[in-house]
Amino acid sequence: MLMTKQEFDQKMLRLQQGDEQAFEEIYNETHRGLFAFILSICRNYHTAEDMMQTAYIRLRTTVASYRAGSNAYAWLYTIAKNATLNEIARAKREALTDMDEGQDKFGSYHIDEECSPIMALMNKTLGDTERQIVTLHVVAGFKHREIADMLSKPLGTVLWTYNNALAKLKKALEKETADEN
Amino acid sequence: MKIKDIKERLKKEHEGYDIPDMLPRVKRAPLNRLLSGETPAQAFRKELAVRLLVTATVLLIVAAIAFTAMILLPSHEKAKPYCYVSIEVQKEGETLNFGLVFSGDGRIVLLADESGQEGATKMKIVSISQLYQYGSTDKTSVCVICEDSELARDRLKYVAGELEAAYAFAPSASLSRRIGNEDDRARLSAIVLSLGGEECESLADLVHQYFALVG
Repeated sequence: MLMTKQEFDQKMLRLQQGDEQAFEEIYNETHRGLFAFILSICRNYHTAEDMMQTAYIRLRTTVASYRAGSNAYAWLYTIAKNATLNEIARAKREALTDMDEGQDKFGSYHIDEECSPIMALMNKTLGDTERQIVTLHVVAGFKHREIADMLSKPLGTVLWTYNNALAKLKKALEKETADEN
Repeated sequence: MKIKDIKERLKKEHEGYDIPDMLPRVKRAPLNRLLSGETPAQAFRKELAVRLLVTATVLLIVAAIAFTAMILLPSHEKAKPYCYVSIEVQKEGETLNFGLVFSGDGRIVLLADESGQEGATKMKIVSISQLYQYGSTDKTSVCVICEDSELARDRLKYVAGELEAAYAFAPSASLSRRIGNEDDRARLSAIVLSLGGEECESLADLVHQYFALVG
């Protein structure tokens, strides 16, 4: 069960006052969902690990500018998303200047297809936004309205994208099963 | 497969993932002090100031070490006394005088002509063989003044060896050698005084003064 927005807000205010315990509570209650979200963006376990660390460090460094009553979830997830997208852009720039231009650092999914067939299929079938919305709802446990707030998208768009993504996933899974048979 | 099943499986796959515990790493991050409400810019300025302070301190220490080394180095060299060698040549009724100074490590650092009115003048040559025109009837005497008697013998042997080599063509030329006595010291002292130097208590100071005034 996710902590409510109000609870998160209170913890952020405590963190602003230098309460170390508040940070631990925030971390313990958000890291699983955040990791899944980052993984849905970068599709690479090790990068997700680094980006999660970056996100929490940035949360602490920018906490002074957090205003009471803001959406702390949106704050944290936006930090994580921006950090991950910046990292992807940086890695792509490096890949372009690298001798081995053909290899895209984030081109290979690094998701074990045998252990995580649905995640692997998601990476192959769904677009970035679709993956993020499905992960935030199914794995992190956010409501569609909260996801709309976090991603700054209209609720209708989020709902449509979510349903469409699951339909695509179902179709791809059925096709895969049929191919296997 | 139903959508509900897909969702369940996706959730289970994520739960099966070993999520790294970043808390200790995040807590160790140096930026944690920003929790006090310090802005990154303020922290950066502080960090910069500390770095500049550290750099300045390191430079100061290096300068101090270099300065100490510069002070210690000459005194170390001084510990091995300079030696003065006087060469007197009787040549066809004429007397030529030359002065040599050896540094503590055995290098010839000064060759001077003491035959003129000026007392002693530095010669622009680098070896004993160039001191003067060697003649077959020359009578040469070598005298060494040095605080360290062992070094004195060593320098005397060296200079005499060089002169013997130079006179190898003239078996009738004579060469005498000796360690300097009080008279020789008085003569060197007179040269130093004539050049504007002062009386010295030790031989080492006397030779140093000669080297400083002539060189």
